[in-house]
Amino acid sequence: MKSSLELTSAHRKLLYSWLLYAISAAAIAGTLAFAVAMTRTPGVRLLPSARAFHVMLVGHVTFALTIWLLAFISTVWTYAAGRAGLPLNRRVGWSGLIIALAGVVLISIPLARFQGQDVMNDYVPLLDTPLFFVGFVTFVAGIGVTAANYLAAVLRRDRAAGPLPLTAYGMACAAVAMLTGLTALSVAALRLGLGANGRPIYDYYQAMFWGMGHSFQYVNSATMVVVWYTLIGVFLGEPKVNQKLAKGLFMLFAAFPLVTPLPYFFYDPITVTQHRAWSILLDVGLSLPIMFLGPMILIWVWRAAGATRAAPWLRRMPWNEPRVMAFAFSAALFAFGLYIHPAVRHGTLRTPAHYHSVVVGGVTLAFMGLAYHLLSSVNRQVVWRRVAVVQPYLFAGGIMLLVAGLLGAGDLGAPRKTYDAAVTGVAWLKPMVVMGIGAGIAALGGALFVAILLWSLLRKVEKPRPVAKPVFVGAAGD
Amino acid sequence: MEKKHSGPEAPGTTVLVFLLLIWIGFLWFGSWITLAQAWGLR
Repeated sequence: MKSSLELTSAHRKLLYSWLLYAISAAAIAGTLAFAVAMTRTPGVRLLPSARAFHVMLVGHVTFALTIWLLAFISTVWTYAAGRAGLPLNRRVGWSGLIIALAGVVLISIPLARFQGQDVMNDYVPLLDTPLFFVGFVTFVAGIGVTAANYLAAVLRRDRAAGPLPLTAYGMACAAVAMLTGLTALSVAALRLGLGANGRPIYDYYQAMFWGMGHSFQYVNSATMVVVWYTLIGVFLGEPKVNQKLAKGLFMLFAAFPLVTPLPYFFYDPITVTQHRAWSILLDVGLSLPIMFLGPMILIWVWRAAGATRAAPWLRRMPWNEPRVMAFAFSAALFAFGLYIHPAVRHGTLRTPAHYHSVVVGGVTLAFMGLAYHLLSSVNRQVVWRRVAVVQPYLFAGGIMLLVAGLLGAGDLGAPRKTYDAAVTGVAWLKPMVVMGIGAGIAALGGALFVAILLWSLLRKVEKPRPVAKPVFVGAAGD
Repeated sequence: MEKKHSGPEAPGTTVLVFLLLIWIGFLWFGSWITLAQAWGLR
């Protein structure tokens, strides 16, 4: 495995910029999450009105589900390309970043000014005003450019150097899914037309983002699995798994989303969400590769534990290694979220219980673990190591309580996406208090993560050193 | 020592590429029909 030292300086700059961008987005997403959660917590009701709640909720979902995740995934594409020695085009790479940055600036304007009717559709709740869409499309276009750049580098690579490493292959599948998502959005826009034009606004947007929304979950999940393999690979080296099987499974992340543009042609496009068979196919397809690729990591760890090469501490759980703990909690919370998915009852808080467990507990927590690791790749050190050790525990624990609270409240019929002020104090008071406590702890864990990462990234390194001395050391020496 | 080979990365990469081509063809065709209808050509 190439060490971080082999990343060129130009590559490191791009990686650094994406990482800084992603962490900043996480900061905004987390702050808005706290505001929203505290508003639905009995007795707290942080935000004063339903309008404020809905706008903050749109902002939270936009910055969390779309911007933070896709910006970090772009970071991973950049990192994976560097590690695999792929010929990434620098100019195109920077263009992608700048376009995505412009998109965030644009989308922030209507959010800050509370402009436009808030529409609470799935995946991309929005403010119905042109600037929001211009900003959104610009942002995802920038990510699309980044994904296409990565794929081009994969196709242009020197084949004589050997087969693509598993993690680079996984990111290629994520890139295909990303481009498929953009295709689905384009097809939806083509078939639905721009503008609701008399049709119910919620139904219009629900249909518009259905295909893209599903595809993007494949991008998120594929990257999460890549990050799992990367984190364990820091300590165990090359994945000791059946490469052909693993690559075949990763390929499913690229294959399943291909169906997302199709229903827009087969049916009246505004009814796309009602043809449940497609949604079910996509939901099942999403979990399928993970249910095999996940356990394969355990087999790999088990095999490595027998080898004399593995560091002695691996034989017992490294409780104080944030990268490993982030992976462990991520896998556990993802599995739990998967487990409660069948219990999802449309319209209740069971739904956000499920996706906060898989997307926040699973994907985001894994990304946090990798973020710590990436610091050494950009010649930075982790500050406040003792806090970093505790941070994954705080965040994971907080999310567990949050999910438990949402699930409990959902079981009692609590509705989602509502200001809830008038009905606080009814049957779901106790679980919502649990939710609030969990949100507070998770917010602290998230804030610590952002603080550690930002300070580590921005702190001036006194002497330019070609060899970064990371605080955490893995078996591969990086 | 890893074997160097220029074959497909995974079983089915060739199949995926083939599916992609069919898929792109379908989308292009469907989009063209939609646009033609919108512009009143059909």
